[in-house]
Amino acid sequence: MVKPMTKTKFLERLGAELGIPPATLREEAPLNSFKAWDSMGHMSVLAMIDAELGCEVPPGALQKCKTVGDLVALVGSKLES
Amino acid sequence: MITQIASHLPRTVLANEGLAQLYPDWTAEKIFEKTGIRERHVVDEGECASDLAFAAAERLFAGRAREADYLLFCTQTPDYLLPTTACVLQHRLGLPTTCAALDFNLGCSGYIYGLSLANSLLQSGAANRVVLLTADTYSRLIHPQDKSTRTIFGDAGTATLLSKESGSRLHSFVLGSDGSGAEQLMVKTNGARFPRADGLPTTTDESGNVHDPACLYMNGPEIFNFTLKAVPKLVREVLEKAKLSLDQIDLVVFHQANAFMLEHLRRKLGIAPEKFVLHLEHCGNTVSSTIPLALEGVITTGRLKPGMKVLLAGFGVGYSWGGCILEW
Repeated sequence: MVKPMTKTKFLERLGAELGIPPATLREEAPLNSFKAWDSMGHMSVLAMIDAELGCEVPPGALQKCKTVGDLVALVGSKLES
Repeated sequence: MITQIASHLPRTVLANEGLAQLYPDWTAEKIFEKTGIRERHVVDEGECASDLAFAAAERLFAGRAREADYLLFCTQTPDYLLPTTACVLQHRLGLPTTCAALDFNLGCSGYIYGLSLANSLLQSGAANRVVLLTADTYSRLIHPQDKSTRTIFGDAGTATLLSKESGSRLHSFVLGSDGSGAEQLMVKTNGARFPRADGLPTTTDESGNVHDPACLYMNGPEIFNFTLKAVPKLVREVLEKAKLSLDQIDLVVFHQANAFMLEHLRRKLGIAPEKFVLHLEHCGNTVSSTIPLALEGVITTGRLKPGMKVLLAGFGVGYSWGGCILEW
């Protein structure tokens, strides 16, 4: 069941998938600075976005994301303000 | 329509412990946690997909007349560019020369396509007994330093006998293709477009996986993203065609891609764990052989009982997908 999610909650969930404390997850942080941002990390994040936001990610869009902020923007329309 | 299923796994086993020695960042348990696979069987030097299919077919024909009027061989690793490997297998298996034989090149969806072709041949009266073989040797296509594919894929062969006399029934086939995803799972060279790797770059990704154009390339996240859209739609369409609800399905057998993907799809679709078949811990992702291996498993253990309705679905390389209902 998809529930509304705030940006803060999304960052918490993203941190959990990537093994990063949410407090240190800054939007300008480059994703490739995280060890867990490999192909399994991509799949984990896709699964989290699918399960918790019910959001379709266009083909190739995830791999174009360079920073945490890019990921937030990718799902932005599904986040509560 | 399905009378019997037999299989063959090559003798050599590549266990997670062996892979963990090659990839220092990973442990055997981590590989299992990520993939649901503990070991996969791989061919030895000189062992071909046709050898695996042959061994599976020999088991299928044990104690049975070698009668078939159609031999379908699903493989992406044929013996030769030509002739079709199915002709070689017709002769090697001692099947009559009245037997039609052809290869078709599909991967993860291949078994469903084979069932669809066999079902149509039987229903049209063009054939009375069809042998559907699947086999691949992806291990021969994988770069030793590409852990994203080497941890996933195993080699196997299967043989399925389909005949009109069988009590089981196949129906409600839904098939589809989307070639826009062709490059997401590909061996680029050794075909007519790029006969050699000359001039094509070899790259290394952020995780240290080597991508050589002469080897298998898989963009795992993109394939996963494709399945998130394609598989729920496929399941819905098969159920609609069969006029069944998910509650009326006794077992669900998906292509055994990897446990992470399967578990996510299971939850997304609301399929109860007791109805969902997982069969990859000791063989890995064997491409077009995963569904018949899983079916053989539930037949052998008695989990599949007469009268049960099974939803089958294959999806992947192409992109290509297919689903149907098997009434056992």
